[in-house]
Amino acid sequence: MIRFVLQKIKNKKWLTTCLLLGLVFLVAAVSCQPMFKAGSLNKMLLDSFHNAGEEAEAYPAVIGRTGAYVTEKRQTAAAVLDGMKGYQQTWEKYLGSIQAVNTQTILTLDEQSAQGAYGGKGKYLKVSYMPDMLAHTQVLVGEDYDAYAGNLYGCMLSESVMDACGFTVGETLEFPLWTDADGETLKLQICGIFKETDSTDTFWYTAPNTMEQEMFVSEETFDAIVKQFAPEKINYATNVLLDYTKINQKNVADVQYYIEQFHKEDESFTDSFLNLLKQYQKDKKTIDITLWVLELPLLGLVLAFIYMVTGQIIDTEQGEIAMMRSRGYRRSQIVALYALQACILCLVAMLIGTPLGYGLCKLAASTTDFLTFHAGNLSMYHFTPVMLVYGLAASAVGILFILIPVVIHSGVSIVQQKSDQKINKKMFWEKYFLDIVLLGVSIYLLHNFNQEIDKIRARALLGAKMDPLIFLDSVLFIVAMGLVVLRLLHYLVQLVYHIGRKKWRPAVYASFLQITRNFRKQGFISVFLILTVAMGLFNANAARTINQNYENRIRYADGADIRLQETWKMQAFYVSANDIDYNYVEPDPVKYDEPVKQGLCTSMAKVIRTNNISVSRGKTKIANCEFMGIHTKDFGETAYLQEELNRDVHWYTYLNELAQQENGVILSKNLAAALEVKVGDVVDCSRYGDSVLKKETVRGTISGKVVAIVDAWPGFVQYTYEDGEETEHYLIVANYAKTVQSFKISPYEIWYKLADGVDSDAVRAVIDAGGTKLSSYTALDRDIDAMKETAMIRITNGMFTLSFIIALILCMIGFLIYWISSIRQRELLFGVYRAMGLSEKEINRMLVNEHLFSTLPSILAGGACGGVATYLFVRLFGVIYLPQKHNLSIYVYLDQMDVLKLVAVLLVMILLCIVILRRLVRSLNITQALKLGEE
Amino acid sequence: MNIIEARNITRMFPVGDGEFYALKHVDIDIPAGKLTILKGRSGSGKTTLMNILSALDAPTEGDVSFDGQVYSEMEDAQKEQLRRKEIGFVFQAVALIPIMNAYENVDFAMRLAEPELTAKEVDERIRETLALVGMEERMRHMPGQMSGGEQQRVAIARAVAHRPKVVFADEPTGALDTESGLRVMQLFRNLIEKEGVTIVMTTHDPNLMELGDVVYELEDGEIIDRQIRE
Repeated sequence: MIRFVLQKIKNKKWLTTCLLLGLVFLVAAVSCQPMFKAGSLNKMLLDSFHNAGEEAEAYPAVIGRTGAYVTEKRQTAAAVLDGMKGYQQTWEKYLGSIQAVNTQTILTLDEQSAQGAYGGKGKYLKVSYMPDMLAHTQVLVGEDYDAYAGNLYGCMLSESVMDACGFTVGETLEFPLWTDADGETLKLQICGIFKETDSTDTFWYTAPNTMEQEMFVSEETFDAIVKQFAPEKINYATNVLLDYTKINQKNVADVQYYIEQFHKEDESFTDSFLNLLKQYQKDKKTIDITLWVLELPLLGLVLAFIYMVTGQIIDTEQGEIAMMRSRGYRRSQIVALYALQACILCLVAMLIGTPLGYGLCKLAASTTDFLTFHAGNLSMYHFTPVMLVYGLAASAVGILFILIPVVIHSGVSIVQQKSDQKINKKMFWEKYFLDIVLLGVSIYLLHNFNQEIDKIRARALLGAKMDPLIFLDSVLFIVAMGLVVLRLLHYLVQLVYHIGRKKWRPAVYASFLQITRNFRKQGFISVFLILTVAMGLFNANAARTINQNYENRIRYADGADIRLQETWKMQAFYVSANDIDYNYVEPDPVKYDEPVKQGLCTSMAKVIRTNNISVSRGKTKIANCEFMGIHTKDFGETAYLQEELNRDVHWYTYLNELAQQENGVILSKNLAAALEVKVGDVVDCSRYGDSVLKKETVRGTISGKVVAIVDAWPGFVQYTYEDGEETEHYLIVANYAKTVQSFKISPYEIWYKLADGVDSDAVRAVIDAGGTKLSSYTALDRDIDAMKETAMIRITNGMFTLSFIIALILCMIGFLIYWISSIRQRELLFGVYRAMGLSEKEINRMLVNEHLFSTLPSILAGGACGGVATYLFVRLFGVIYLPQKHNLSIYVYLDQMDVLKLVAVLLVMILLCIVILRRLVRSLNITQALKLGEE
Repeated sequence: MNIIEARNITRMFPVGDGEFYALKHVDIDIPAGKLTILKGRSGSGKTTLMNILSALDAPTEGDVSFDGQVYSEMEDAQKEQLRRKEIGFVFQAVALIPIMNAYENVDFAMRLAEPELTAKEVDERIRETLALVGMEERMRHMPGQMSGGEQQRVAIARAVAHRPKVVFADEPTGALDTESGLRVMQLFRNLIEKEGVTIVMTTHDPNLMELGDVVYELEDGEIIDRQIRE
């Protein structure tokens, strides 16, 4: 039996290769799923940690405990540290493979106020000890506490404590409330100012510049102070920094469980990433479903391909099957024969498909945009044994799809086969109008989705997993519309044939009859062609739209190519004995011009930004408005506002209005609406203090005349979201000069517009070279890169790109095989045509005509289906991906290059097909062809 | 008068390293307006001879003249024109073009041979020939819906519709039962009488020999016998 099957495979080597190819892609597409999923989840997890770290400017995976020991029980630092070991051992025991990369422990005594001998004053200072601190510290001024040889207790302070309290090195601090048994007060002498040796050192989980209360002493000093002043308790805070790169999709659930357990059992337990893990679990579900939803159309297409090729094989073997049936073979024996063939093919498909799946996964993972690849770090995408299980499952489905047509045809005997050779039998979907019914269903579903768009948006905002029905509906729509169009095409070709029926030359006449009579037999390849083109186009448009809208929003939110702000120093001073005020010290602004001078940037703008602003008119007052103080010319040259937003009035018009009115202000539409003001009205814009003490104090007011009311403004995002909660923001823009005049000098951002072809890193390097310390930095190109790195976008681009490529390969091969086998089947017929006097040229013309009236309409129909589906569904996809309300609406983007790529591939396919067919026709020997018929 | 004269026809096919001679120095004359039968066992060379006579194949040696036109002096395009206009074919296995119904099969041959005729003239001729073979009632039927004999009758109608000078029929009765075979032969005689056409056919059925005007017998690529009936 095996020999027979192998012989059968050999006899039909081309069609069998084609079938094998379908199976290989099926195995590859399915087996790459678990690898892509695991890799994407790992990447998402890692990215979440990175982002959380960047956002908080702190190490992202930390567990710890804060508490205190009464000094009755533990009187020394060593004793306290020893007491904490028990907790650390428990954590270690359960978190196992997640090693600690560092541990930061701080012991402190209760805060007290201190008076410096040179006038410095501290209200809340803590005597602290931190083990191993000196190994990670550099002394900026003075000496460390170990080197201190004075008579008092020596302590080291960070720069921020020194600045906040106005202390100097060598100053003695007296704590009037710290007294020992003899009534002696605690006195510390500042021996040095320190900072971390390396700002990236994870030892400094809490960085020195954020420690505004701690006065660090040596262990001996700490113990001595405890002994002498007998405080009630020693406080401690320990933070264990975990190696989060070891947390992956496999162990993440365990880690989350243990962290939750630690919280349950220990109220003082702290962690920095449980929320992140919870969010991960939510996102994981979305990714799970997204992956399948995005790949489902591709799998459908591959299965259709397998079914189609099997159909072709069965078509050529129908006679043999009928013969076998007539000779007494049971139906099950015939099916078993084909099942054996399918198993052999699946085995080969597994061997090739699994490594191919690995490759496809890497390809999908390296996708940064639709059909754009960038290798990057793909180490988290690696082979997993589950891939083999998936591959096996895919093979099983593949076998099933091979056997369906076999089962249908295996019951036919030679007599039935001969009597059943009806040309142009209606297909079942055509007969029962399934295409129209399905189209109706898909449109009805779409209508429902559109009706519920607000609910869908709200659910998406709360992180609900994607509704696969929306995606499936788009596929259903494309399939149904493809079939309807095919039906219409059939009528259209018949119409064209009938219009010129009496005039057609023989070749055209024969080709028209070939098309119209074979339309249904050829239906499968037409449907396949329509679906490939439609889905290719739709996928491309969906991917482009999602990417471009994400990018647009980032571009809009950033407002300019680069935005940075230097760390401004706040200089405190006493207004009276109990009132401290502050001034900002403007850093040297000359360096900001450097990137422009070097030609890296074409323009630069200073923008004062704060949201400690309230805007009022009469009794209505809106607090925490976003404020921008701008130089209109510089701002106009540097900032960016999408073309779509300038359609009615260009935003430069508003800038001009502002430039002409010194005390003019521009309001966002929602602010104007909230205050019920119109252009020409006057509003009061009050600036509140930035320091904690001055939060409620108005530091200046601009009475501004409203010169413009705008829908959108560079960098102004009207709605932000956190945990599904929407926050609305309001904007007011004023002239820079008026701002400084009314609010005094306050921190400003520097906005840059990059010169063509310049990377933001080049500008950053220039700024960093001057030793500038930045408090914020935003680069548009890096933000866009980061967006493309996110798991969801990668998955979307990866899957759309993969589907596009595989569908095109299959379509190309399927198309070629179909035509070649169709010509081979018609070799005899061509012999007859040639014998009757039809020239080779005319036969070629016949084939070109067949393409013109069957292939080309299918491609055009595919284009039309893809276009309509894009128009109807892509905006909906946009809402799912970007549910947030935004100043920018979701636009559907089409990239002409995608269409060109698609057209180019199809043209190559058709040309290749025609070249091969011409060769076949040329090599046709009339007498041999006719002889074929005799045999 | 002979419409076809073939002299010294040799047809050699290379087989592996050797050569196979399907026809060896054959001389043959086909009289106009008569039914010429080429008989012989399978492999005797009758189909090869017919292919050469009908300009489907070229001889290795020798030459054929068709109504004064010498094949060796004709371009491929001229031979195609000859086959279109002056020759009709009835094939054994592929009687009809499967995607066309009876009417369209005949129409196709008409379009090839008589492009200058008006649609009305073409239609009249198609109906006339289909009536001639008794298939006018079934002209909208597809080949798959007809019996073997019916298909062959339509094929004959297609072969004669454009009024060719010669109709070549390769084993036209091979796939038919005796009764249908005899009906086809009767039709041939009828056509010769009514249309004045020349028919060349091959057969190995001894019962049909009686119906031919000239019968050539072939064996191993040579004509071993010629019978002429008056």
